[in-house]
Amino acid sequence: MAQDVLNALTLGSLYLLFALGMSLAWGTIGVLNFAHGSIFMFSAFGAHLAVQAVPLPMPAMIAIGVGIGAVLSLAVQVLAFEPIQRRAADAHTAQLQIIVAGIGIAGIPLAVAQYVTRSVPFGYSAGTFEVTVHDLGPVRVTDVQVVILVAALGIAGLIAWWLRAARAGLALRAIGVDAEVAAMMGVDRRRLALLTMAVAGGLAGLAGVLLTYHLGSIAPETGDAFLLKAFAAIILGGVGSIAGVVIGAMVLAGIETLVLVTTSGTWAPAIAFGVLFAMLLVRPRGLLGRMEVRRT
Amino acid sequence: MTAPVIAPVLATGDVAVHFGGIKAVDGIDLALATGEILGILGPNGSGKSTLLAAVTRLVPLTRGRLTLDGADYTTAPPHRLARRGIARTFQTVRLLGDLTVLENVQLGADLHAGRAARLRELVRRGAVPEVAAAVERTGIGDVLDRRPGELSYGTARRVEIARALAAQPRVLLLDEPTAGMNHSERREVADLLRRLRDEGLAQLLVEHDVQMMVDTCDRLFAMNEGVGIAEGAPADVVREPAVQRAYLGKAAHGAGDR
Amino acid sequence: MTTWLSSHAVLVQSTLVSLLLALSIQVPLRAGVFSFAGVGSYAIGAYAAAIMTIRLQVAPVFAIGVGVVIAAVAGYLLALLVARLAGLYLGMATIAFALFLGVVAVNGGELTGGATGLYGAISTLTTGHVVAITGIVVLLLAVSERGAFGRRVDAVREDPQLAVSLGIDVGRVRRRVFVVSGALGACAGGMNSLLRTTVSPETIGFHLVVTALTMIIVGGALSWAGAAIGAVIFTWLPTVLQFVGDWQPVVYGVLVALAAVYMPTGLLGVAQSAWRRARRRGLPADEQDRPQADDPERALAALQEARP
Repeated sequence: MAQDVLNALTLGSLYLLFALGMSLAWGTIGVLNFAHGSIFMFSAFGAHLAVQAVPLPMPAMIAIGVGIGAVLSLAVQVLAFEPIQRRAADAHTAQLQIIVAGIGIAGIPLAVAQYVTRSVPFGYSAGTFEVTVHDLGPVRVTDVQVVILVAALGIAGLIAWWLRAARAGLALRAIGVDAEVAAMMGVDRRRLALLTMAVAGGLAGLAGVLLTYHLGSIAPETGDAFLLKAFAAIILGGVGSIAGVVIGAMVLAGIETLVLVTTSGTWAPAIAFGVLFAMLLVRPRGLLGRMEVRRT
Repeated sequence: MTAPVIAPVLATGDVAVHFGGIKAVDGIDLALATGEILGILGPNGSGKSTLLAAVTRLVPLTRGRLTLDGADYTTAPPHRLARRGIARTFQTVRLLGDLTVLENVQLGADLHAGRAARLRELVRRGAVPEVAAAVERTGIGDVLDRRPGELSYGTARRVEIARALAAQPRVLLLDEPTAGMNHSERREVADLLRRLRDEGLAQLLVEHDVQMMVDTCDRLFAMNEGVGIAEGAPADVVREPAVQRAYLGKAAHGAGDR
Repeated sequence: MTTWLSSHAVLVQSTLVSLLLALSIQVPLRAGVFSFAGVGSYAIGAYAAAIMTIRLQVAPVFAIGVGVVIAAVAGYLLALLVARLAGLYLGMATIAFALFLGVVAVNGGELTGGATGLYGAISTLTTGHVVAITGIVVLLLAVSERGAFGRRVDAVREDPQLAVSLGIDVGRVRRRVFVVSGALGACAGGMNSLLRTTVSPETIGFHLVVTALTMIIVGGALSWAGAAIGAVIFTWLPTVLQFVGDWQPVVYGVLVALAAVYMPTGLLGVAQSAWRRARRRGLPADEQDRPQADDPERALAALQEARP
């Protein structure tokens, strides 16, 4: 039982790391990046390619993953999303076009990874890192799990604090509330948007590398699966709330683990979809959502 | 012998709209007769737009009744009003940018187009007579092939009115039709509305520009903070102390001193 | 013609099935409804047709028809459930619905064949049937895009509040669009099951959403013609781009991304704008900007004939 709780927490932390980036970008600059899953997977993949060439320790791998994620996310923002925002008739159309563009762009890293790996899952066994397991009474913890838990909760807390306390963070929240007014008050929207997307991508990369270490290997298709779970977590917790993403990710992971443990587990993938659907019908604002849900 | 009472085309009986604690409209009695232009005058926040929304069933009434030609429509769904004969224009010009001016006007007439007329249109691509009449009355015959984005603001407004006319309404409700217009454009619209009135179309006009109201309307109904404060001939209403107070003296000076 | 048809039968079948799938998303989109329930309907139609054929050996029309009816009803119920959602949130809810059905298929035990799916759905469905069905569908949709009905849908998409004031029952239009979307998706899925004689959870899923969106974005979202352009391009592109080989998905991704950014109205939209500009230039120079005759009746008649 305690082991299951630990597993659920780990899973939830991975969802959290992945969803944090999406939620941050969505809640502040209004960009819902459907290529986030692809970036997550490709960052892990890039680290895999690196470690095949040079045996690297975990910190280096993490750095590579974060770097690739940030760069890819920035590229998507600059090459696709910004032009769309410039050319669209209104904010609403722009948002929908960004979503569609993200879906299209997501296919590119996926295709490249599938081509290179021939859809065989890839891992980091060529690296120098060896998983060590610790037995703490009723539970077994790996050091990877510790890193995941600490990273996820730590970064979530850091971002939540930053949004409240730091000047740039407040500016970002201001953009989220009213972009026009924020611009008039001297906030450099573009720079903050780029920073946000870079951070979001970096977080995706971090999540990707850690997940690969945790599971041993991942497949190119894993990114898409995570994407939908991230939605479920964000909608459950509430768009625009960091605490909401934390709760949403943990609750979702908790329910999934419960189903996996108590049944044969084939219904587990449907939980995210069910949660998402139910929340949208009943309370689209989410549990802690502060943003007014523009239903159109 | 008592004079026969002519039933009003459109009437509101003690209409109130409350949003939680806010009483946007609180007890308005209106009666619009055929062939008259009734103006609703009031400063910003007086409740005129809410009243219009209530009359067009876009917001539910907290109390009161709405009748058209004596028939109650207080709980009718909003999309049924057009068929009963209520047409309206909006504060901003709302034309469909992807359609031509002609198609935009046809939208107004589509409501009444029976199956035969629709099939005919598909086969022969002809416009129904109501559309031609509306086009002629508003004088937009020369821009039918254009798209709304190419029109001047004044012309776009006339297209909107043509669309409303194509539905052959009993009543036309206009929500600040001359907002943002210059003097000559405003004059054009006022002339058009008076012409329509002369042809027998009852109109409810919500406007901010006091002078335009005085020149165009047959009667005025002044409101402030959700209630009516004066009603009667335009010249009399604008001279009422309560009305002048509501406008804080500025507009009243412009309109009353003629 | 018929020899070409038979030698390219599979490609033609694929194109038409893809077209119907794309239409199941394009039709709602045209009414401003961002719904991907068509993908879920594809699943319903695919499995229904396979099950009916394998277990009851009914004629293909019935097998597909059953799926269409189920999906249409499901579409209506879904419309009622999501009535208050719109835009992105509606999109997400409908994607969740579609993917949920995929999991149901995996867990369907003997009925759906579980993770491996169903095989041996052999029927008398021919390419000719498929062409005929698609042809009728396209004809009906083309008619619905013109005249009063087309304008009504445009109004519901562009300005629902205005549509209401013009007497249009926006709620009813939206519900009907869900029903049509369900029918189209199920028709596509059913036909595909019977043509390939097999269905499995892999044939349905998020990648269908991507495929359908791709066709609509590149072809054009506002008309059945756009979906057709998209379907043709994406079914025949691999043949044309044979030299690209394994990199096809990458090429697709790039095409979609480019289209989404620089051609949001799709190839159809671009073609329509160019056509309109050419017409304006085709008018005698002095009449290009000057207003036409003052007689409204004559102008009306003249302009009716001149419209594209």
